[in-house]
Amino acid sequence: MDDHSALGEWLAATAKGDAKAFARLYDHCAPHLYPQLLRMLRRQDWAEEALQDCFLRIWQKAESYTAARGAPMAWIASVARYRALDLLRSKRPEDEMPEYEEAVEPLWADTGEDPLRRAEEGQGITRLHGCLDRLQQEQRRSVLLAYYEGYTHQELTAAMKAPLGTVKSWVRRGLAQLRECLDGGTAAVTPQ
Amino acid sequence: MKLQNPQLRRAVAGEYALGTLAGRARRRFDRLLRNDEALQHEVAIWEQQLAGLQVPSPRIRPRPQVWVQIARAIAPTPYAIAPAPAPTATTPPSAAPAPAASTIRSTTVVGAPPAANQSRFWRNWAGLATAAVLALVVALVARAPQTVTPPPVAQQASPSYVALLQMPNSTMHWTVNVAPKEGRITLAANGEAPPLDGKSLELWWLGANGKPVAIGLLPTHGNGTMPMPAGASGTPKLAVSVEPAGGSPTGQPTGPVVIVADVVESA
Repeated sequence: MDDHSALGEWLAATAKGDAKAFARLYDHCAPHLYPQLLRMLRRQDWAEEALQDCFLRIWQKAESYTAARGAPMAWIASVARYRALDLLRSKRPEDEMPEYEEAVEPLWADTGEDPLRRAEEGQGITRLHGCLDRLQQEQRRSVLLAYYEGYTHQELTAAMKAPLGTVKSWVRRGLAQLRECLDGGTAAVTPQ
Repeated sequence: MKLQNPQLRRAVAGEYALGTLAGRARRRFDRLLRNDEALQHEVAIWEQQLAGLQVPSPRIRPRPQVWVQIARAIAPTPYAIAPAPAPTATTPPSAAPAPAASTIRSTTVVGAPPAANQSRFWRNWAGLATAAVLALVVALVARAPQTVTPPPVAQQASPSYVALLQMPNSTMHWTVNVAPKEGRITLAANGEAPPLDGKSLELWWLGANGKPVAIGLLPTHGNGTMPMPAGASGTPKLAVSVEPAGGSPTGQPTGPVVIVADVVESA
């Protein structure tokens, strides 16, 4: 069965309260989302909590999904990612963190594994690769660390060894250029 | 944060989708987002673009507990063990003395059909618990990691089946193995026993005609083996009801049905 249309159908049925369709949606998506959550959260219990939150959110908000939101899996994946971000922020709150002068080493910065290398080894990045290549190295690294590791600006200051203002501008400019490039279609490759 | 400048709107939406917009700023943005469709659209575009960064990784199935929690949370009527409905006039005044847990009840089907409200309760649960537990069981049964197909329906000559019976609002669960060829049902109880208030949990076989056949009392700890009940055939569903101590006095479920589970064929 075509994943895309099956997911769309299950989502639509879920919006109407069809628990069976919801179970299928879970059955299909959870094994994709769970490893992404594990990578971001690094702890099984947190990844499970985020996955659970994610599906409760989907159950409640499935009716807000429309085809205009794009591919169902991308929507579901972003729900999962937001739950993971919420969880990260609640476990390591940023609000009260000092400005960059006293920036602390992020808890997850030193894992002995380079998230960028891991990312490049995958194929998912091909779609954006051309556009990412056009970014300055620091912009690129900041955006990817924020995406894959869920780093906040504060955590980026430590990872990038740069002041907060600089990091913020790397992220903002990086995103802006990425978007411009993708919208221009210069390097965008239609998946599949 | 007014966010009227289109470029700024796009930029902040991007940081929201990326996640670097955090803390109070993120909460403010969340509030703005609620009533600003154009901004929602902006975020949706970013989400789609950034989703391209998802690196395909080997699928990993989360532990079945995750789904159990979800299924519990969405259950329309969270079940709590309550005293069973007051016995009606037709119920024998006192049930036979309680056989020990996991004692076999070979009661054949006799007695009145369940009351109307109870069968409605049953149907309601069947819809949800079936889906939930089926997916759960599917998650338990070893499957090739790269093939995710809709939950299979057990159907064959005389296969054996497995099911996971999960007590709502409780960690209590039973893994059940049904081996019709060997004429035997084995089960293992795990988790914390729910407060039963002197009641017993009874396991039922729902055959093709949907008519419950008593299998036996469910132990709340340890393992148990029960013979296949007389009159059991077809691909069953399993159900659990709360009964007076010692089991249903009528041979049919008299208390609330707390679990209805499909079985899946085991390898």
